[in-house]
Amino acid sequence: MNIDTWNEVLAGWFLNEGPHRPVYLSSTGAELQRMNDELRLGVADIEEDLRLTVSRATYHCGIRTHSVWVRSDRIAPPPWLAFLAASVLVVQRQTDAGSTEFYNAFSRFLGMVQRLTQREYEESFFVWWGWLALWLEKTHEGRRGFATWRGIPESGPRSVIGHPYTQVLLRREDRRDLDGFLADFGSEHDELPELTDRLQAGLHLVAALRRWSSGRRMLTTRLRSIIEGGSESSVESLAYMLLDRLFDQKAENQESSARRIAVVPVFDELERELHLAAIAPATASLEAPLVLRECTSPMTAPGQPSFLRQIPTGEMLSGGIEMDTPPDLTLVGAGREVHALARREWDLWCGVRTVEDGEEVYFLAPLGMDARLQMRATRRVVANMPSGWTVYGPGLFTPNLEHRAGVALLAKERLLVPRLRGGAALDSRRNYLVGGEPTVELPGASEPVVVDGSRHAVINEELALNELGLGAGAHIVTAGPFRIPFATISGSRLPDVQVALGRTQTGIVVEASDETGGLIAGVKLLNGTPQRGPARLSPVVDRVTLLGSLGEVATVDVGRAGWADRLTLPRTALELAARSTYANGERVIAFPLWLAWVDESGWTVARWDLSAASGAEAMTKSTECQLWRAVVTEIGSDPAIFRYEADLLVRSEELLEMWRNYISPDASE
Amino acid sequence: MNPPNPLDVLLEWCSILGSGSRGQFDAACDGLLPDQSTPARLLSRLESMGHIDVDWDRSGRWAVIPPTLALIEGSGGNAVLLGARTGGTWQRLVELRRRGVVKDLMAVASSDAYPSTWFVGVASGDDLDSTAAELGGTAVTEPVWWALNHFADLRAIVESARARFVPSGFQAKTFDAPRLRFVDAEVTKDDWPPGCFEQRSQGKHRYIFVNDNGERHILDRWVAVHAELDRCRRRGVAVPDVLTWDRRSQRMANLAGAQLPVQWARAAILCTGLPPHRATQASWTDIYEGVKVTLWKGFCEALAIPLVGEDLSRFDEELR
Repeated sequence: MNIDTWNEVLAGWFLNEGPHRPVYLSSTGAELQRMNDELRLGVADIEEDLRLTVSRATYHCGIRTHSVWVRSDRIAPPPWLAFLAASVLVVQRQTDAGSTEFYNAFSRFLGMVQRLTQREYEESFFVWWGWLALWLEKTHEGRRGFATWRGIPESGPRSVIGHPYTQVLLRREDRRDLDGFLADFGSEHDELPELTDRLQAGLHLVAALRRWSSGRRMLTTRLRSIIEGGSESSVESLAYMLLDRLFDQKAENQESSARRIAVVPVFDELERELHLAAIAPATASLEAPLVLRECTSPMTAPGQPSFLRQIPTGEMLSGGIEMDTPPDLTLVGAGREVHALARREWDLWCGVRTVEDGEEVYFLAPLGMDARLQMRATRRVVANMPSGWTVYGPGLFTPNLEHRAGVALLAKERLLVPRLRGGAALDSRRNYLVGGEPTVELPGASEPVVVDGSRHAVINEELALNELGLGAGAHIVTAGPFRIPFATISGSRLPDVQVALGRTQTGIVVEASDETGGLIAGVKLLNGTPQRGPARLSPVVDRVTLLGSLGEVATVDVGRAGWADRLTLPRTALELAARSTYANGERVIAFPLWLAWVDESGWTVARWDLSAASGAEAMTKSTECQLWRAVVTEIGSDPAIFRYEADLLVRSEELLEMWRNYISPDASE
Repeated sequence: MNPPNPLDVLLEWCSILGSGSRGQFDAACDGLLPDQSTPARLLSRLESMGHIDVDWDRSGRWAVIPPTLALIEGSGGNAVLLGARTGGTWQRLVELRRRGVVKDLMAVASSDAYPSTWFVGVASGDDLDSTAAELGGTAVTEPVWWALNHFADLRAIVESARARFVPSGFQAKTFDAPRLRFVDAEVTKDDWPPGCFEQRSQGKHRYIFVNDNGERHILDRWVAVHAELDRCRRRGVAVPDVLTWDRRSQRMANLAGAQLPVQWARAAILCTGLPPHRATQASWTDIYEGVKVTLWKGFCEALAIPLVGEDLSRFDEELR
């Protein structure tokens, strides 16, 4: 095959896994042979053909064609793809031969007269690996898959030539285990920390993989040998690959991950039916329900399971499910040997990735696993159950079951890298309210964590940041090779709140906009009659006198409740709880309005019933009291409390006396 | 620097966001709540204190109430700030105190389980109004009576909630009125006997009250409980005195197994602005301070509870 054909074939075979899937340029001898067989290329010796092709095309040709390709639309596969594949093949051969030497062997493979130098490599191959990642994720927008080789640094161990090492490290079956490991930890919706040391961060992931795999039977021999006793270089290559899988996938596919709808198996205990259900994303709401043609009901609340019309099959349960659906969404369900089902917010047993110690669960698994799962398989028929599968339980989940089930980890142990949890988040960009800082979870950490330069002890693998008394501003948590910046903001502005909900007369909470009147929001009546009650406060004075209806005088009770005294609340006003001086002294004056004035002896407060302006005028006239008329003129018809500083013509005592001696107009007539 | 009370922080967070989902609230509470507390419990407390309203049954949405300065009777001129409040609100109040509009300002944290109560001392009704306006809110006087008079009584609420379709009865629990607790029940498919029941449905607890005529009603938990207590009393079944009052101390005791529905709990809290104290030595009991006899009678009348006075001095030690 010529170089162009090689590039096309390699791109089609290795770099076309589909959206959101990791791709590996793992052009080992075995993989090239498999490609040759399955694509029926008819090449007698595929490895030799690659060697001849790249040596004929020459390394310098690769450099020339690269600049042409860069200036083009770059849709076509890169012209040096076969050279990268060759580097992977050489690394595989050298590794199999137990050699760590690379440059001499690769130069020979390329048919170069002079040995390829590191500088030449850095200016070509090192750059090309980067371009290949861009080609996948920018030019083709991740539709062919995402790169798994970008974590290679420019210096330090496994630098420069690390790319082919990561690609050759794992075989197809090993990578499935890696998929399972990352799926179990499920960091898809978490904000990942920044890295201060990529190698150390990668080694942290390898350690987590080692813990995860402990006691698991399904791990491939090759992967187990790497994580349990592999060479330093193998472990480092694995570390970089894990970083790529976890971090770069996240960075490049944040938008696409938001378009993925999780699918889980669901056991309806009441109806004895097994379903697949899509789990409503955070954006689903009553106002904006998500309607999918594959689902039997709209999704109206985050986390709500909505049954799929698709009946579950054994292949879906064990191998997973992925379906594209309009508008631009993908339904994705993970395949597992054993599915843990828990009943939480919804009265259905839904497939979950994390289980708490002591939580009640069912297991959905193949028949014959009673002993391993320590639960009995159900004897009753479950509709839609695939042949060879059943549900076990229910029973309480224990850490002991974690390894037996091989899937369900305790929630806390499922963390892979440090993350911020909870807290009074003001947005999705790690901005929090002062005092509402989150907790930082530190899986596997026992060393102190540094927050803004100060070291803090870690307790139970976490640190509550809200207990540190951090002020407003930018902060940084540093934990080993990980760094998490966040900011705190104080609520210095007045709240700007509109009434959104209200309570009907029967106590039902409804949207305020749905009702035209009669709602209470808090303690305030909406859209009803004005709620402002009688003004019953007066400044604190020594003496208060109240005038009720004409001729009625009441002394105001200036005492207050015992609870307020016990609380030592300051007394800032007198409450004018008026009692009539009439014989039936229990009468509370219903609609008080107040007149108040001050003289040397303090404030005087009077109530004047101005239920109608004309009536008030009549009453005023009838008193024939110039002062009283003057007071009424001064305060108008709606006095409430007011401070009457004016030059009174008579003393308040005289006014009171006149009031007491009032003779009703009817009587005088 | 002392960390601020996390419950005050959560209320401030609600005030900034305005409204949100239960999931949002749960996430915000993660790591901030005291032990033994849950986000749902805190949300319920914020609701009974008059800071937020929650649509528990339908959307699960919560929404903070606009700032409301409620004058508390018997406080000597102190109003309580309900609804939204932030650090900015406090700063504005401090500024108003400096200007003499507000005479005094006090935040009282009477319980670890509730946010603090902000008392704003004013000298007149005009000052009350202008202070509320400065905070972007409104003033309310006599909030207790407004709350009490606005709402329908128990029987009217039950009657309005009659439901033709109720959950199946699968794994339902029934309310044991003499013991004030839900216990496992045998309800065969959709065949509900008279009583009060709890059942999970669509991820939520539903409360079903079935009267002696077999009519079914889906209600708020505490309304359903009081409806069942009322049904039992009328049938001569002895049930505990769930709401008693002490003339001497002006305290009202409410057994935790039959709590006041939120609209009345809010009114009871607004007698002082302070949350109830949960006495845990014997039967768990919520003690409300400063409840006038007329209000207690109003509660009893609304919830069809017989009037039973009681010496509540046994709680003195615990309340001190």
